Amino acid sequence: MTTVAGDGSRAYAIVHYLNQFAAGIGAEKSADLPPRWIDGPVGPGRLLQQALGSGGRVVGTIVCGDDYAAMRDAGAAGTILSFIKEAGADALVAGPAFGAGRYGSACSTICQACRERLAIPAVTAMHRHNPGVSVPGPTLIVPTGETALDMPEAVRAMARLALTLCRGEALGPAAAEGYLPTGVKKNIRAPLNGAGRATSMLLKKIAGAPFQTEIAVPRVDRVPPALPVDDLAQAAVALVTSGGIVPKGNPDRLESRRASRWLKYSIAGRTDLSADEFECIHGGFDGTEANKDPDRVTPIDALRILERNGEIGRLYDWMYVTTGNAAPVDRAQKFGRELADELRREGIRAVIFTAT
Amino acid sequence: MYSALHRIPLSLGVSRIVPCPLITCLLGDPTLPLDEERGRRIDMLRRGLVALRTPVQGPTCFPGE
Repeated sequence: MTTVAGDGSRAYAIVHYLNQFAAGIGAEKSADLPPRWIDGPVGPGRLLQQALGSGGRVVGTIVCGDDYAAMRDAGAAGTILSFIKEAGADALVAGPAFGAGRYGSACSTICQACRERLAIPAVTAMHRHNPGVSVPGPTLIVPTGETALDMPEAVRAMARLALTLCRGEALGPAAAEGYLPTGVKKNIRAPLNGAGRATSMLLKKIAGAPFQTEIAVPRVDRVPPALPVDDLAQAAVALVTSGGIVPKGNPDRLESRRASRWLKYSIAGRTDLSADEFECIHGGFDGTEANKDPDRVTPIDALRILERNGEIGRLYDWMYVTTGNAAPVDRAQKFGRELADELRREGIRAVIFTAT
Repeated sequence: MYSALHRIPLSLGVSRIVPCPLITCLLGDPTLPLDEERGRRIDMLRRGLVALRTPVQGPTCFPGE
């Protein structure tokens, strides 16, 4: 609840959302942690409290495991919203999530649910390529770098925006206020009419001077769906994974996150992947179960059975491997193009792609 | 694509998605005996084969949501 000081100044009640890692409760092994409430600020919440100053008070922190939030999003949101409501929050601040995909998606989903279902303003922060940015909004997202190096700046920006929203003040344009464009358009009075502004922009462009477009052309990278494969019983099928299954000891030193390349390993003649010979080096989830049986991520055993049954023509002799966590989008696009080119050259008709 | 976080590829535009129950064990279930677990894996792969045979216009989950 908002508290009012003797001089009439207000301290708005802010609820902070964190994942298990940011809250210091655990890493991947705690990723299935159900939502829990902790009174007051935790971890980066202390920085948030500093940034809010006397204008706001972090009344509590909601912590939820990344997997729990991602895989039970409706259930997780219900519990989290009940915490926010019971706390009498004036605003929700979520994250910052930086480049962490599951965390970013959870932050965006909770912010959107908070705004829509409780009519409480919410703000989050993450890298502009975080999948959480694609969660349908509009959600107020402060752009950050990929890592926690940007923590102080991100938290300060979230605090400033949260207090602006608490006071019921209108936000200016995204570029001026420091958030990612939400797609919401508002009418404002401009000093020049459209023709004047367009001419001014054109003159700057001709002169090679910097200019700001008023409507950015969206750079949508939608890949048209491939045509169906109706003769799978004759088709060569390849196995590709971003789950980081590599030969034991990781002899090619594939990175466990932010992979710089993809690799390929022969699976010719193999009827499964044994735990003695292969392991999971993915840094974005707990690899214990995958290490016990790598077929759980790269299902060679089951694909061989489908091959024997004639349900697929043949399993291609090479398995393609990378790790997908924290992958910059441009690098992932490059991997995709390279893999598609190679698989096409080899006459592969379909791919089983196991991600996370 | 097989994903336990299927809403992410769905929002990013992946055409054919088979949701999986566990991120740590995408096509498996460590609570089951090996034969049953493998049987479940085969069932999940058959869902993928259905997806590959099915024309889609945009991001689609198999089975559908």
